Amino acid sequence: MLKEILELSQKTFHPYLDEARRSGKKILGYFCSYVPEELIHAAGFVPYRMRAVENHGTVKSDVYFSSVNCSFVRQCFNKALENEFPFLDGVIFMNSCDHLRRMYDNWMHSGHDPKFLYMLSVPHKSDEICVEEFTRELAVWKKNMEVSFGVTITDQALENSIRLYNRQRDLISRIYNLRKNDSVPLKGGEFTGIMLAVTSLPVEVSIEMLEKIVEEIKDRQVNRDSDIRIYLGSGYHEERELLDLIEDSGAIIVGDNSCLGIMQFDRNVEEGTDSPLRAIALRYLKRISCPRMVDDFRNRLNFMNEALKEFRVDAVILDKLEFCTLWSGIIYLYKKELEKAGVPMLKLSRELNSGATGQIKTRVQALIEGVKNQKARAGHQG
Amino acid sequence: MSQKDFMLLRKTIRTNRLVYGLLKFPRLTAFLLTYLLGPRMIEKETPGNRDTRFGLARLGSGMATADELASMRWYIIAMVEMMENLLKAHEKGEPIVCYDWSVPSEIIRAFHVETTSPVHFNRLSFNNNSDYAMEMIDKADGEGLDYDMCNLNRVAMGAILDRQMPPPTLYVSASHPCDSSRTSNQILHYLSDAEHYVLEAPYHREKEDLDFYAKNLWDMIAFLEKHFNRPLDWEKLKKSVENINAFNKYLREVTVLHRAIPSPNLALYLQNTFSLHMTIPETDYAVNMAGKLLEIARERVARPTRKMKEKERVRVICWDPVPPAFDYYKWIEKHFGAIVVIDYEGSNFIPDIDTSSREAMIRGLGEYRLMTGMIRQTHGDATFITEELEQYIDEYSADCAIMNNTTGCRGNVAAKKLIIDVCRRRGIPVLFLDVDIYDKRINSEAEMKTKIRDFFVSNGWGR
Repeated sequence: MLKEILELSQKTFHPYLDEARRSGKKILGYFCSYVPEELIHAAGFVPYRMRAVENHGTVKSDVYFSSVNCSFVRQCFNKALENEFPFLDGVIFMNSCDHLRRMYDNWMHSGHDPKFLYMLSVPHKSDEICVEEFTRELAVWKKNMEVSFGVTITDQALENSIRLYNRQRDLISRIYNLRKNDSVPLKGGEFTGIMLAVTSLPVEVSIEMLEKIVEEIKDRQVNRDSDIRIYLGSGYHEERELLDLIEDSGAIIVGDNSCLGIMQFDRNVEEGTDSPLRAIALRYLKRISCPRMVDDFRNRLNFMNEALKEFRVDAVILDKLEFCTLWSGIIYLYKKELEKAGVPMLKLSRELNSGATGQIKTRVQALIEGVKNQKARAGHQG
Repeated sequence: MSQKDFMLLRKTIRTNRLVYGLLKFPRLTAFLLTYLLGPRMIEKETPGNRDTRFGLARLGSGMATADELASMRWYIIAMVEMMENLLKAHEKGEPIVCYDWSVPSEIIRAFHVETTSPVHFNRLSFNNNSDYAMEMIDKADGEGLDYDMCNLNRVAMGAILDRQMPPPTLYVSASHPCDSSRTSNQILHYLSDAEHYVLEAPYHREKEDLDFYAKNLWDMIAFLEKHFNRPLDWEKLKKSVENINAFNKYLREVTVLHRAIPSPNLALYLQNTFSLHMTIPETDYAVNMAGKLLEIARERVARPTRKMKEKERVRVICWDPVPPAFDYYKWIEKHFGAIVVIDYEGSNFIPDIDTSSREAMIRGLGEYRLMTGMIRQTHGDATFITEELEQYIDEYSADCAIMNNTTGCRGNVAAKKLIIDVCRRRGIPVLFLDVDIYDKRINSEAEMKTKIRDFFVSNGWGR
């Protein structure tokens, strides 16, 4: 099952999506872990997290974007302009960053399919005023989908979707937490592959697959005793090769604080409340936050510090895409705190799918060597 | 170059006091600037003019008339008093609130405290000597604040790290209009021991969005009342709002009067009012400056001179902030007869604030801040940009547009195709000028001049 799911992760379109379409289901793309999949699912659709895998550069999107814009946005939009998402019936955007919100504008302007493009406005704070506002925004979006697609999204359907996505999050959490053990059953690249796949699959299918994976990997070990344990703080990443490169250099990625990682599955939506929309709003605003959220750095830092202890992390890699202002800032803050705590750290800044492996490999090897030497010295002194 | 604490503030106060004194005699000052200093300033930066060139660019680079300079007298005294009060507050140990430029700061001042905006220090640094801004960027670099943030914010952070700004006792920042603001605010909070509050702003500006913003402003007021342990002075705020209404009413009319052919040619001074929006728009000084600009504009539109008619050969829309390193409004006027008739920061479409109740006033202040230049275009969908640009082209009889493609402004640089298509549809050429808002090392003045010259020549407006 793991092999199959990893293969799915490298494809833009796969047989499960094809099957969903043949059975009359619509597929709605979405960007960012702040877009509630539950709402899309409750409409009877399949949520599909947008990705740039199998991309062919940025020739067409460069007409719209500058070279100082995010490479994920440029590559993904290029795929749209190349008509590589013909299976989508709509795309949900959100105001996560300046690059992405302009992708919405540019896509609208280009007139490319699909025609249903929606900008969901998500607040940047999680206090009661913002929870109320996000609940209202979700209601507006729900109404918009109902009118645009001629469907009705009932509270019962929302409850069902909440239950399913909670189940999916629980299973992912189980897999994620297995990496706390000495014997790590999954590589970081494989975990990213699982996340890429489950965010493109009908949730019912992904639950079945995840259940099988839990069984499949329970006695598996992928790390060597000499591997150092890495925590990955990252914005968007989808290149498994990059993580393989880190792990092949003598490390194992055991945990993350990333966009396609923990941010996607941290915290469940409360079930059985009077207002499923409010419950959804609460989960999405209160889960571990991305740097787009303001006034939450201390929570993010505490979350990371806890993880460093729980996963017995030796070093941290902070990775961001070039021109990502939000991650650039948070990495500066993490770096300050990690230096204070004496945790070895490496900052990477790269273009998505750039293939600049040589430079990254050298830097990762230097980090790993440094940590191993430090451990050896400590062992010698001890 | 090493600077002592608040040297920039002190130097600005001294220089501006001197200019303020000179402007008591606007005719004499205009004469001095036109015939003595101006010619040495406008063409290029030299070691000899580095200290004064960029400040004088805001005064018209030696091409200002006596009445234009008279309007600037109000602006200068407004800034001087603000800076003096800030220093005094620091010396006396009184509270200083540092706010992000998009925050309705008049609400904070209605608690009778001094305020300052770090972004204001960018302009100060440039006006005193363009190398200061580089020094502050280098400070930020040295601290590890990398180039992914806009230099608007990096200079401001450098100014704080360099102790050019008195340390605040409270930070009030906002969640908009861009990633760079959001990011730098989080860093400023981290670097300071001061308490902080972040004002959440809406993405759009429909009725519901304004309601949401108002709720957040009320939350901010509750926070401030608790922080200062005293209620907001509503009488003071009402007076402030009345002044802001007068300020905006005058500037709205000045903006509209620029539709006239020839235009009253006050875009540079309208742009200076942007600094007042960011700092102290509620003062009588701000109202007086706007009133003077209106008086000039009305006179010029009613009785345009032959010189005005002859001078205006090309009507230009200027989009995105003009880089202080090459404040080119007067340079293009001198060399190509190109007059900026409307721009992104200075144009004013801000509606009146309803003062009939506290609720209406707070809601109106929220709208005011969402409609202020630069915020108006950078938050929300790109239709905020394209519709405004179309309006400019339709109403201002523009011949061309210059888009200052500011490197750090990721949202605007990603809208280039949208802007090109608007201009193409409306049949006007557009120049995308690659600039960095504060780092003159990235795009040199000579390079920018070459591009501008090529643009005007290729469109038949120059040789």
